Order: sequence, then C-alpha cells, then structure tokens
Amino acid sequence: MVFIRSCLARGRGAWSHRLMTIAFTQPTGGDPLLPSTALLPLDAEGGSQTTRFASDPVASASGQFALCRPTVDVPVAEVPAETGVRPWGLRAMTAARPADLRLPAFRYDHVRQVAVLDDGSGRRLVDAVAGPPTAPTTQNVDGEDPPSSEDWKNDFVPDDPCPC
Amino acid sequence: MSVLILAEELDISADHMVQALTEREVSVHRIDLAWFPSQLSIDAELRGDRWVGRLTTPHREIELEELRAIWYRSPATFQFPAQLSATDRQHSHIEAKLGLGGVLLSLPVLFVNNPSRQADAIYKPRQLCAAAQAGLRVPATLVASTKSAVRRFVAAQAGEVVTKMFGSNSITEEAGRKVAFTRRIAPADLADLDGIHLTAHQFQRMIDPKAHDARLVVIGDRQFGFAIHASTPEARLDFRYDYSALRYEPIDIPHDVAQGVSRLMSMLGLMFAATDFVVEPTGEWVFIGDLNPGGQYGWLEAETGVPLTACLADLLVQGAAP
Repeated sequence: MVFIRSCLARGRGAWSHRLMTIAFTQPTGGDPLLPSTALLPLDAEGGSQTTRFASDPVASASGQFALCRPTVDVPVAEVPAETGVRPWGLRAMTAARPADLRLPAFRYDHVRQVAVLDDGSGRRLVDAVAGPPTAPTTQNVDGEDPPSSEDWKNDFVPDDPCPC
Repeated sequence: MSVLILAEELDISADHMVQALTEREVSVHRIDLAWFPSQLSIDAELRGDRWVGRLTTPHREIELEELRAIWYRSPATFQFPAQLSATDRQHSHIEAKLGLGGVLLSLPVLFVNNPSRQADAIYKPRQLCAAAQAGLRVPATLVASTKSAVRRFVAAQAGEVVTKMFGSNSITEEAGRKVAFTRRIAPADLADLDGIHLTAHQFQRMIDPKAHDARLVVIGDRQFGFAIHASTPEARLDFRYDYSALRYEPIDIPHDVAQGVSRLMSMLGLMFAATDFVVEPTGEWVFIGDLNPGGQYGWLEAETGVPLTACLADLLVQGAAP
C-alpha cells in the first residue's frame, strides 16, 4: 500500500514528494484489495470504465491515467459507509437543495441548431426562460442543486462522476 | 470555412454561440458526439498528410477540410444500440474514440480547447505547480492520506486551513444528490480523521483576510476579471454555496496576474479557461488551484454584460479565417 504525502510550499512551484511504501497488512476480516477497475460495474454504455476520461469521446488515451475518481453507476439507494470506512472528505456531504427553476419541455432543433420549446411554437429556449441564464436557474430536472450548477450546467470537469 | 461546435443538445451557451457565429456570417455546425453512430456517421480518408471527408447527420454534411475551428464545449459520449452486448459496446466505444476522435484531433484546426490538453489540465496539484512556476501566488497546500500529515500541515500554518475536493463536489447517495463545499478545518476535525487513509485529500491554507473572490475568464489572449462579492459567511468561503448571495462586477486584472495567467495557459496548452482567485484586501490575487478548462462563463456575461460570447466567437472566427 502506498501512502502519498505531498506538500506544496507557497511560491516554490514544486511538489515536495515523499512516497512511502508501507508493508500492507490485511485488515482482519476485511475484503481483499482489488484494483479499482475490478470494483466497477458496467457504465450506462455498458463499458467497464474507470474514469470519465475513458468515456470522453475524444480525450487522449493518456487521459485515462487513473488518478481521477472512478465513474460508478451508484444505486440510488446507496447508503454511506460507516465512519472510518468511508473517505474522510465525504463526511461533510449534505443533501443538495432543489433547483429554483425547472426548464420547460424542449427539443433540439437540428436545423437551427438550438434548443426550442417542445410546444410547436418554435420559440428558442434561451428566449423562453425568463431572466438571464444565471447560476441558480439550473437546467436540472432531477433535483439537482443550484449550488453545483452554473449557467445551466456544471463547470466541465472531465472526471466528474456525476455529470449533469 | 466553418466552425464546428461539439456540445450537448441542451447547452444554453452553445445556443448563444450558434447565434453569434451566424451573425458573423460564419458557417457553423453543431453536433453532439452522443449522436454517433445512430445520427452521426464518419467518412474520412487520409490524403497526403490530412484527413478529408465528412461527418454526416440526417440534417447536414460537415466537410472536414472546411473546418477551421472546433469549440470543444462538452459533448456527451457515444451512444450505442441497446441490443449490443456489454463487450460489443465497449469495443465500439474504444474504436469510436480512437477512430472518430482520432480524426478530429488530427485536423489542422484551432481547438478551443484541445480535449487532451483539457483533460490533462484538470489535475489541481498540477495546476498549482504550474501556476507557481508561472509566477502566480498560490497558497500552501497539502495532498495527503495520513492523519499525521494533516495534523503537521495544519499546525504549521499561521492561519486557518480549509479542505476541498479535487474533483466534483457532489455525489449520488441515499436516493438523492449530496454536495460538499470548501470548509474550515476545526479542532474537532483533527481529532477525528478516520477515513483519511482511504483516499487523497486536499488541505489548503485559507486566504484570510479576503476582500472577495474573483473569476478570471481567459479567451485566447484576452482576459476578463470578475469580482464575486458574497453576502453570507458560507458563500464567502465557497461562492458556489449560494448564488443568490452573490454580486458581480467586472474588475481590472493586475498586470502581473495577467502575465502569470498567460504563462499558465501556455504551459497547459489551453485557449480557454475559467480560473478562480481570492483577492486580499491589499489587492493581491491568490490562485487557489481552481482552473477549469471547461468552466462556465454565461452567467457572468448575463450578470455583468461583458461580451464573453462575442469574444469567444471572434476567437473561433479567427481560427476559421482562410
């Protein structure tokens, strides 16, 4: 097992790396270690993918370097693991607030190359939604939270495990 | 001469870009790679040193040799027929990525951004190193998976320390979405770090005092600064917490910061990025390790009137010039 400890001193522009290889001791009664890929179910397209880089349609193969969080089809009823067996950083997770605004039904107009209202009016979606496309007016319709949305969509994070 | 937009069908910023390019009388094609292979096909042949041929949808033909610029906005990935087996789909995906993706990547066009550079750039530790090398101020930062390292780092800082994610700040769990924002490390946190060993965590010296946040949008060789003023403690710590508590204004970018960001963009090979800074009361800008090569800008344009779409369109048009 390798623990990584790296510290960036202000202004130095170089990581001070100390990689420590520590003898691994199997936790009593614990599950055997598996490569992360082995733990992943098939994704929506059916491929076993360790990262969204792999499912990115164009990003180079080097982008599949497995430093990013794995893409996993999480069952909606998944419950958090107990403290100590779940990443510390996830402790502060709280339920996302519901979106402030729901978009009207729309469809993509292949001729005009924009989204239009799906009511036969042909009106562009950008013209139909009141107000500017501010961050709280999230496009999500599945309970997505405004805080994680900006201008209808999250910032594009290639390894976002839950792209919206 | 034409511009290709790769974006999902629902993308308001892409909608605006189609209009902006059309107004500039540039031929614009917008496709979502999720259309491949059901609504999008490729026919490309190597002639000499470049690929010629076309991408075809039921509604348009896109001649590859006509393309001069590609806006890699954020297309969805390929969608294959449901009747394919998992193995078949995985094979098809990889072949599509390396084949169709390979042709697109090898076109002699202006990429905004090149998707490979974009993917490489999202590693925040790399961003921090590159930013420091580019002359930007960065906060002391720790990446660690051990309790002792966290306690050592926190003890060594003169002020408070925050923790934040490297990637997405949201997960799906218990039948809903959960989010976490940048948060202060309290003594109670240091007393109970169970689970720290399960993955890498990021800790950073909190920039305090802080005048306001700033988002700097880079489009080619132009930079646009926006002050983000938060009216609640939570939003002051992480402006994503509550957009209703925010106020925006265009601001000047210090010369040294602009130069540093230019160098950073060059080092990362990017044409576009949204970068986040904390501005101290002294006017000093500190890069906090949040450079997003696919960052959003539309809401800032809507709030301030700064013509970011027009600037980006002009950049794409330059690439499309004969």
